[in-house]
Amino acid sequence: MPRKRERPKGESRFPIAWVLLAIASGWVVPQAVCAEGAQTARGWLPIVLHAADAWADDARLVWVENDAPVDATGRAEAWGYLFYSPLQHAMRSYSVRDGALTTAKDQAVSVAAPGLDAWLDSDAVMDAALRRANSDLGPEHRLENLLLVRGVFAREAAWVAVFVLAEGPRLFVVCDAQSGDVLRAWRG
Amino acid sequence: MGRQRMPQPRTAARRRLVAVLVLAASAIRVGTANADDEAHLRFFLQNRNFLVQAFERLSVDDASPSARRAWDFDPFAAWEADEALQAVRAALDTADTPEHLGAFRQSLDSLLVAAQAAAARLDDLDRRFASHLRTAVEVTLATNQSVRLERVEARLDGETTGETLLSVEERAALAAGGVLEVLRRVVEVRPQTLEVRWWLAGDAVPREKTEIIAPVADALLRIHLDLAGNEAKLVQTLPGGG
Repeated sequence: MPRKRERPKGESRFPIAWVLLAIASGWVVPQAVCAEGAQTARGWLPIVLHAADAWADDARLVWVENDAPVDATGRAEAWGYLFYSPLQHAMRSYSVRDGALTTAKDQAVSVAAPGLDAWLDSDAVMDAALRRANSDLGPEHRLENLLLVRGVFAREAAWVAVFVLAEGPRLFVVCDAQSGDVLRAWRG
Repeated sequence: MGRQRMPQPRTAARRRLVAVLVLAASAIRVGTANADDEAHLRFFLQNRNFLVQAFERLSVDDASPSARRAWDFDPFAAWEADEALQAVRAALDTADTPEHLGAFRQSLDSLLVAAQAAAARLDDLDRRFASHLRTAVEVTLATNQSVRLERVEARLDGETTGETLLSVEERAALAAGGVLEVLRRVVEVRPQTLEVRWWLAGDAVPREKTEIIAPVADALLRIHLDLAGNEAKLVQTLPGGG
């Protein structure tokens, strides 16, 4: 977890410009706002499974990604889910916010992606990913993406946390989706 | 995460400032047009080419268990209906002693057992089919004798999902008080725009009724369009009076 920084007396009372800039750019949502309605990736899974079942009998979940900033507990106000149907050879994605489908979209691209089988929820992998990011980048990083996929970054299903430090290079932290262990990390 | 930390306000002025910032953040988020679309699967879309190539390199077993699971049961497969009936008839035709009537009774009983087994399998099929369909929408339409309906079309979220050119028999059935099914299909549980267009005799441009419908999970949403009056009426109902 990030270390708390003690503000010396006499320092500027509040970094207003920083906060305003961050809010305006969509980087930061204050904790009080982010916590409300935030959910783990698996929390809204039944909703999209139901929708995908209506779309295709053989729809399988192949990708999960945050559609809103993820907090330190692995929760986000919106999650995106991508499904693949082998029979239709088509992909369709859904976004859920506050427990309701807000987006349902046929994707222009379609590829036979492997289905996600057993996987830990997003809150279960955050600690390990954050520890690695703190170790590699220091505490001033920002979690840009948290995604779940199988076969791309690891043989089995893996959570991939993408951290960014200011405008510098990104840090990719790959966590095993069944154990939560960090498998590897690299800058790119 | 470092940049998500905010200093804890200790004074009233700081609290007010934080409140203003939170409100500003809320306003920005609400006021951003299509923000959900822009944020949806951003990483996936930005790295689409790389990901597609990675997936293509995998040896993916396309035949998932659900795809392999065929509807391979036939409620009549284990029951040769004709043979069973012929056996019953033969047993009755040849019966000339009480013992023969006993054989007839036996063959009749076996026919009834087979029929019950087939009915049970049909019920099972029905249950599976019902659970498979789950959330669905049905659009029906009615007119009266004074309305000569030629063609009707239903669209969901701009996509044509049902189109009917009415036959003479269908027009006669409508005039006699019948109901025409325009659309029936499985839908996703989310608000959708339903447009029903219809052409009366001589119409070059369709008449139209648009409604936002809200399908409910595991239920059939019924939409009925009544063209009998001066103004078309559209009514939504759910089983159970919803």
